[in-house]
Amino acid sequence: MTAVLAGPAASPVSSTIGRVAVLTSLLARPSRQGRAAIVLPIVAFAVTTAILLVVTGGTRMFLTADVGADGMLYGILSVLALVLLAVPVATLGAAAARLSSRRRNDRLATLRLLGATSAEVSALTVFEATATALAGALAGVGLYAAALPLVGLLPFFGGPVGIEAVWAGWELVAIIVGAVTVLAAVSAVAGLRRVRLTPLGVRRRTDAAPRRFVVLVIGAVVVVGLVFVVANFAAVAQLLGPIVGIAVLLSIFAGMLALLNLIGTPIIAARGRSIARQATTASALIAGRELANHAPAAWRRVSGIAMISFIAVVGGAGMAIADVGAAGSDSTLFADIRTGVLVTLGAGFLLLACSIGVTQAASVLEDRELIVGLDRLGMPPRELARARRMTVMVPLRWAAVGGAVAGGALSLPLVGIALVVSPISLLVVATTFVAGFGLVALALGASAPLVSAVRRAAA
Amino acid sequence: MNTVTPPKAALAASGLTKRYGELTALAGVDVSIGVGESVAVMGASGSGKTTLLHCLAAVLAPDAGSVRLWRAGDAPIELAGMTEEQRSAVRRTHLGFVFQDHLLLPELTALENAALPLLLLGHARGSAEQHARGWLAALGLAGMEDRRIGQLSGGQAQRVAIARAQVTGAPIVFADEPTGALDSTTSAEVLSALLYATTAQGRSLVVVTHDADVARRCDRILHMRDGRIVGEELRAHRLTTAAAAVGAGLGGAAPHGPVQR
Repeated sequence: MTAVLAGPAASPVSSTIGRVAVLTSLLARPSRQGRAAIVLPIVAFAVTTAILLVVTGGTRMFLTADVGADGMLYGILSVLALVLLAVPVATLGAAAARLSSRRRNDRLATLRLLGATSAEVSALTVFEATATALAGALAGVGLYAAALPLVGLLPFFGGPVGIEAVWAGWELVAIIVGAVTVLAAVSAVAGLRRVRLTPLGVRRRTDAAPRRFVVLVIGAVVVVGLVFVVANFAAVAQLLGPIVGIAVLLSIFAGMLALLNLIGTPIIAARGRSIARQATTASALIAGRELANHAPAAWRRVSGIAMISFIAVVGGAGMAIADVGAAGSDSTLFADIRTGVLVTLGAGFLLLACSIGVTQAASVLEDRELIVGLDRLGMPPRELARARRMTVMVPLRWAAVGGAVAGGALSLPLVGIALVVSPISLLVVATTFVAGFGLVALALGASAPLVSAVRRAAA
Repeated sequence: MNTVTPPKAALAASGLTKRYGELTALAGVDVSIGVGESVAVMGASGSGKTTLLHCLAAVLAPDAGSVRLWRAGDAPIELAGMTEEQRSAVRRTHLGFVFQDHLLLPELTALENAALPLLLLGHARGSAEQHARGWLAALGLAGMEDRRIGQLSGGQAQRVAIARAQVTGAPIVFADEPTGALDSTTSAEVLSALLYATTAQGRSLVVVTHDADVARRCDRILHMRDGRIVGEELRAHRLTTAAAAVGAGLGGAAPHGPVQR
């Protein structure tokens, strides 16, 4: 009975898992400034889940519908739409995961200081991001259920398809909720590898980014290869059979999208370096250095538009085909292609708007201290806004044009120049560009009050 | 008590009042900062010292009272009634800032960080960087111009922040716990650099600090409690410009401000 000042003896229950669970539940309490950072990812995960359910439900409908001879074509086109939307969905999911895993950085450093191990703090972050994703995914199922009557009104096969036809089914719902949650966990783990959790703070690496010309060269070679395969698609299909041939074609589209993501980053980094070198104003200098140092993040913010302009060019060509064929006997099929292109574009835009909103909010919260510091120095708000706009609009232009060029490169050998540059396809592309840029400008504008709030809160 | 004549005022506040809801952060503070004078503001947490700094530095608008800023050869300007945009312009053109966590942009090099305020004033990049280079050299950072902030030590980063605060030739520099994140040796060096960049050049310095060693090296110490100034100490070295002596140790002559006013 002497050790009066000794701490409580370690109980057998205080395992690592137990400690992580306790810490997580303590940190899950809402805080005043953290509210936007928890609501935004939940909304983003919900939208991601709902759109995934609409698209996979639709794909399932087309794959199983009994529509006779055209069944195969319906199936291919719907899988194509799924492939095209996979990247913007993944982008939004990853952005949401990143935001939810970053919001507690300062507290995590404190926990490290108090003696929590790096592994425990990492586990806590991953656990929290996963729980946020699960909550968002479940909300997304609710959103999907609410939107289902509207989706059922979409005209396919000559009339509204009805709720039952587009309902994804419980198996798909379970799979997608699980997939979104796992994606968030994986993304949180990946995000942690880029920061160092030390007792003195969670540091984001800000060394100059390495130059990656090799990636550009490899990317260019692979693009030529992909276009070559598409150009000789007939021969490939003959050699491997039509089913394998179509699978190859679909994976080429997916590959092109992945490639676009790969070469986007070094292009933005190079552009950033040149903007910083030639900068004559503070905003251009800041924006250029930001782009050069955080090119992957800058590209991620806008990669959705690359996919959308890719979809617009491929879809525009599809619309042109539909337009040419509409006069014939298959008018239902061609009307359905038109509807499909529009639905895919609409879903893409919704995903893009959410992505930009979430990533802008995340970057304002991440740069909170610097925004305050620059404001103290007397940087006019419009100058700060100009720098933020440049870090989005410069990569946006590259992404939009890059996506369109990639889409053109794949569509051209398949459908010919006449259809790619036909009025209807150009109209789809032009509308997409205008709508896309407008949407991004809106999302940027929407984050402006958050910047003001950050400045005011610190004063 | 010392009986030296107070220096001509660079900044004078009277009846400063600031409330946050029920809480009165400043309860009618009168204070004057002389040209070339260094003033330390001390007090416990919540005594109102940071709020005072923010009101004097045109970061916050006081609820009542006046803050007048004298510009060389001109009539004083009143900061208290200004809009947010006008205050931002005053901070840009007339004031310099040094923060505890330096708040330098990690993406920019040391040179670019120091040149940033001149770019904000519309100076050409070349001349802005040339001038910033002079200040970095004067503060002992020659050869480190192209380093990123992450490649500098805490003390070096804080000296970059001092160069940034003085690069426009601002007549008054405000420092909020400038040595709060540093060890005592580095802290003394950074304070020497700060005094050298301000009072030794005939400019004024206002420092909010918890550190008695930092306060002792200033010309005057104001003690705050409950939103009021409850005590004032005039340091003996007031007119001996100790700062000039330590400044010599840093080597190099300070560049003249490019901003004529």
